[in-house]
Amino acid sequence: MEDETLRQKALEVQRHPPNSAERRHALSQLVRLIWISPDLGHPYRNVCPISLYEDIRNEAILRIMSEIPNRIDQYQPQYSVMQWVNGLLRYRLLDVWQEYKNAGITHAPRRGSQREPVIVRSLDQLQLDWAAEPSLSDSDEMRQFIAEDPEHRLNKHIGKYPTATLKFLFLAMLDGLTWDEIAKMFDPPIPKTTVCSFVHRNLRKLEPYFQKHLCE
Amino acid sequence: MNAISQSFPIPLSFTAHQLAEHHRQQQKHPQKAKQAYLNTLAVFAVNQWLQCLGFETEMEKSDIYQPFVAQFMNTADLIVKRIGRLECRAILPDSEVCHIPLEAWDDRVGYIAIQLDPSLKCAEIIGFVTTPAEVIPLKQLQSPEELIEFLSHKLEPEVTLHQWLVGKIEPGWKTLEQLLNPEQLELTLSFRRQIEVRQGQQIDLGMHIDSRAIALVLSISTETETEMAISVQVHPINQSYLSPGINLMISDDSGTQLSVTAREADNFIQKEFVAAIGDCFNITISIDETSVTKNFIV
Repeated sequence: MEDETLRQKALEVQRHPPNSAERRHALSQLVRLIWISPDLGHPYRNVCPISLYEDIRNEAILRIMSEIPNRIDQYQPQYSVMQWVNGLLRYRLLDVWQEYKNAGITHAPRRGSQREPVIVRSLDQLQLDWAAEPSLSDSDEMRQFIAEDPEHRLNKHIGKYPTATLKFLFLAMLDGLTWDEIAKMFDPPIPKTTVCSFVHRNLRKLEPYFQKHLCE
Repeated sequence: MNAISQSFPIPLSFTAHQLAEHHRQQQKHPQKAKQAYLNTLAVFAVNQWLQCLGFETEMEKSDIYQPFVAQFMNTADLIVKRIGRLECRAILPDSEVCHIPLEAWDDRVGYIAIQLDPSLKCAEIIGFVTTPAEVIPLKQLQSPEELIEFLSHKLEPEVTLHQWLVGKIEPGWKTLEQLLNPEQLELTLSFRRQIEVRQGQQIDLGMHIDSRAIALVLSISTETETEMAISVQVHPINQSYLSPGINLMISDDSGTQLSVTAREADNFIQKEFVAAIGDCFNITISIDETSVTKNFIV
C-alpha cells in the first residue's frame, strides 16, 4: 500500500515540468515520505563504530535528498521506490564512511592542515560551552578598537542625529543595551527599527574593516 | 491550521555540524557562539530543503558567514535567487513560539521556523510567516506546503509586457505624470524609438533613514512582429539625483546580464535591449544589501 503511494508520487513528480510549483509540491511530499518510511534501510551496520552509525547514515540520507530531484526522472515504476532509494543509500553510506575515515568531509574551510574529526554536538553539549564565562580581554579588545576607530570609519551617523554615530551605537550595544533602550537615548527618540537597520546595513559593509584589525 | 503535522524533516550530520562548528569558533562570547551554531543549523536545513525543491540559493552570502555581523546581530538569513532574503529561525525543543529579533525584520520576504531536536541530529521545517513580530506562536504558522506555493508564486512573471500594447496593464503601475516631475519626464524620452507604452512604479528599497523613493520606468515599442524594444530606467522621486551606488540589473534565464550603477549626481540610470515575445527576464534594483526583484515576460 505504502509502496503504491510512493510509486504514484514518484510518477507524479515525473509528470510535471521542471521548476513548476506542482513538481516542487510532489517532490517535497515524495522526499518526506521516503525519509519517514519504515522501509528506509540500515545498510552495512557493522562497517563503522556503532556510535558513529546514525550520523554516517544521516549524512548519506542527506546526500540522497539532494540527488533525488536530479535522478527521479530515471526512476522506473516496475521497481518499488524504496528498493531504488535503498540501492542509492548503500552506495552513499560507503562513500560517507570512506570520507569520514579520510577526514575529507568538508564544507567549512579547514583550519590549516588540521584534520579533526567532526563532532555532531547535541543541545546539551552546546549548553555546557555556554556556561563558560566570556573572556574579558576579548570584549575589551573590541571596545578599544571601536573607541580608537583607526581608519575613522565609525563617525557616520543617523540622518539628523549627529550624536547617533556608529561608534556610539556599537559601544551601546557592547554595553548590552537593547534596541529600545538605545533608541530612547536620543531626543526625540529615533524609531528602533531605524537604529537597527542603520547599524545592520553599515555593519555588513564594515565586516572587512573589523576582520582586518581584529583577526590578526 | 496546525502546520506541524506537515513538517519537513532534514537530517543534520557532519556537513551541517562542521559548518556550525566553524561559525561557532569565530565567536568569542559563549552565548554568541551557541547562537552562531544554531543559526547555522537553521540556515543549513532550509538551504537543503529549498535546493532539493529546485530553488537556487546563495547560502554563502548569509550573515552567518560574517563573524562580526553575527556578533552584533542575531540573524539567520538565506538569499533565494530571484525571490529575496528568507529568515531561518531555529526553534528549541519544547518551545511553542518563534522569536524574530528586530535585526531580522528588515528586507525579508518571509520567516521560516525550524524546530531542532535535542540531539541536533534532525531539523524540521515547520512553517512560515510573511509578517514579522517579536513572538509568533507556532500554531499560527503557515505550513511548509504553503511556503512552496508562496515561493513558487514569487518566481512567476508579475508583468506580461506584450499585454501592455493592448492596454492590459497590471495593477501597481502608474503613468509617468503621476510619478515624476516635468523635468524628469523630458529625460524619459531619451529612448530613441517610437514609444508605444510607458509605465512606472514606485519602488521602496526599505531605506528607513533617507527614505528616498525611486521610480522604475519601462518604455516599450514593437521592434518586429516577434520582438519588442524595451527601455528600463530608474529615476529618483522628489529628489534631483539618485543615491550613488543604486544598481539596476536586468538578467534573463540564459544568464545574460545588463547592469548599470548610479554615480554621484546621476539624474537617472537606464538600460535598453530588444527581446522576443515570450522571453522572460527580471529586473533587480539594489543598494548595499537591499534589493527588489521583479519578474517579467515579454
